[in-house]
Amino acid sequence: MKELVVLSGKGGTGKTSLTACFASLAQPAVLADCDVDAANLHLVLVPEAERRETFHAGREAHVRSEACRGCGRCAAACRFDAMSLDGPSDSAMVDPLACEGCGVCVFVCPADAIDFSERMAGSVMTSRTRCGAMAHARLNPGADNSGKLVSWVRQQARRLSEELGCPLVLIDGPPGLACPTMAALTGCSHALVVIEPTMSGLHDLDRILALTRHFEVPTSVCVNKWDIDAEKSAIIERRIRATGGHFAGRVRYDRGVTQAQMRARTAVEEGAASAGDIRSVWGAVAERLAIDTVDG
Amino acid sequence: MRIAVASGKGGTGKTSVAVNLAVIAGRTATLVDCDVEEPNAHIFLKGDVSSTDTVSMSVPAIEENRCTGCRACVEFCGFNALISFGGPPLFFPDLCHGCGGCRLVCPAGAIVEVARPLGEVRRIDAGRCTLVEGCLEVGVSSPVPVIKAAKAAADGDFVIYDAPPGTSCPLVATLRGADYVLLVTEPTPFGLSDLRLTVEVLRQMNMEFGVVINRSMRSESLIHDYCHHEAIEVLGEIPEDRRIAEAYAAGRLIVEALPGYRPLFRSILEACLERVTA
Amino acid sequence: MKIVFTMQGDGRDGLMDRRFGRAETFLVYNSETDERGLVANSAVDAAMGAGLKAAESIVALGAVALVTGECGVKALHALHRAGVKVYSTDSTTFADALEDLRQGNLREARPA
Repeated sequence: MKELVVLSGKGGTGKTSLTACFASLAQPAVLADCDVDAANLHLVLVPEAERRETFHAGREAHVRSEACRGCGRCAAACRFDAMSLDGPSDSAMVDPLACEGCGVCVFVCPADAIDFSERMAGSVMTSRTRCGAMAHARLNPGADNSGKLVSWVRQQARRLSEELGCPLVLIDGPPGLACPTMAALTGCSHALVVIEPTMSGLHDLDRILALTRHFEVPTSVCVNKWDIDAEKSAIIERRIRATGGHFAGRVRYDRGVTQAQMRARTAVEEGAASAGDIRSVWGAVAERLAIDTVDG
Repeated sequence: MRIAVASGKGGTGKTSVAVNLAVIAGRTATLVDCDVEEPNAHIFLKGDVSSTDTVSMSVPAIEENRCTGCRACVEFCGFNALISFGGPPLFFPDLCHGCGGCRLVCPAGAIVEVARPLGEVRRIDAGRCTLVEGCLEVGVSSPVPVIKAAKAAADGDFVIYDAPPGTSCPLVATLRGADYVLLVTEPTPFGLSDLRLTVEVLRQMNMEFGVVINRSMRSESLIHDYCHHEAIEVLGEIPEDRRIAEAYAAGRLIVEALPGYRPLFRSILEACLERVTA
Repeated sequence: MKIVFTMQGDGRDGLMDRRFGRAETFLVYNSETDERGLVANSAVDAAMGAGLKAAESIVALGAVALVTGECGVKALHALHRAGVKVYSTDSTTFADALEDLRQGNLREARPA
């Protein structure tokens, strides 16, 4: 079983739209939406949930106001400014959005007035879509995507791939470079970085490639909306080739991608202007992965 | 006055709106790039770096001669940054949140704290306004301390925060203390879905906010319908215009490359100011 | 000598898990007696740092070696410090991995 993760330094480069297209080209694949903060793959693939579980991550402090003496030691000790005594009552109050769940307040409280329970972070699902099985999650507002959640989604996807005898797990990765991205990347067979030919894109490219190198994951790069700036697209392509990287191709600027999205379809399914470009990128990546594709 | 420019999803044009508003606001404005994982505002606001400060966090250092190997710190650390094979614990700074708990619980006084660099805050005199940029070191897992430091470094009367994407801790850390939040979205199902999530967070935080629709198409009422239903004000619409995408790609400001858009950004800025003072 | 293998599920079907920190079960193999025991990996649920927590368990089990698919940089470093050898394998079953280990076909992973 192979795992391909699709990444982009920043969001909004078309990563999810491309991942959805790959899902329709790669059948059978199992999909894993690890971009949990802005989970959008479901808007195109319209999954029907078959299993849903509550997801807990870390802990959070809860003050039992009847036991609190209002001494303020917790507020003094908390380094995340999550404890305050300026609420309407005399007891300390926790700001759940600021609490990182370290437990220092629980330790310093002389009245034993702080509970430290598991934090409900959201729900995790496995579903059926027209392009294959899918593992995904929904976070509660303000809850953090985490390495644990990404690992959980990946684990469910692997399980589905084994059950269904499916050779490929296709991961829509989180944006940025922090913990969730690392969890999505680690141990993958291959990464595809989707980049736009912009100043920001050039800047992000180096950072994301440093990360995939760090994790020793073979990486391909494709340029999305290449014709917005042909010159920068050429720079990116040259830079990738010069460093011995794999350049998977270019996809044109195409409003058909959004129009397809409006109909909850992929650009490939709708035969949008960029569909041919996307097929060709997919072919190049699939070749690297050494897998057979239905349509490649 | 502090205005945060945010969007649930990346790539909606949030940074573009933030930098153009800062330039319209003028020399006394300070833009804080709180997207410390991928700071991009400096691409549009070039200038000389006038100061650079390292952001660090207090992390434990074990004095091995004092450590009794009791594992109290290891048991306490909820982030698994300390592990022990019997002797003095091993410390893994990547996982540490800097809560200081290990030092508190150590019965032998064997833990001291040292500063671990997490990133930098740079002050850039961009001429048209001031830019304060936070930049996280690659491999550091929590951006929050760098965001807080970048915000603290902005001292002007008029400050714009360019928020990170997503709806979790980094966004919350950016929004805290802002007087008003401008949500930038685009009229697509992805844009709407992420807008909804961000609105949930803002309501939980009791923040005042309004919406700017980027890449707006007259024919598409997706966002208007949602905002109308939720009683959220739309402060402006930036039309779908390929010239804007090209200016962005080239690292140019919309208000400079396409001066015809100046009145639009001015009206968005004024609308924000009115909402804050109202 | 005890050698730990990372297993899928409860480990009874003999399928290896490529992951270390988030493998559900450790199979503890005693090379002198040929005995094998299954131990649940308590690190599975760690929000972060699962690999390090699992490394701690491996050492507590008294293992001298670990056989797994992928061992993260931090856990590898920790296990190296504790004197546990880490072997990478592409085998999908415990039986194959054990045979490869016996034949000396496994590559030892070392911290960079």
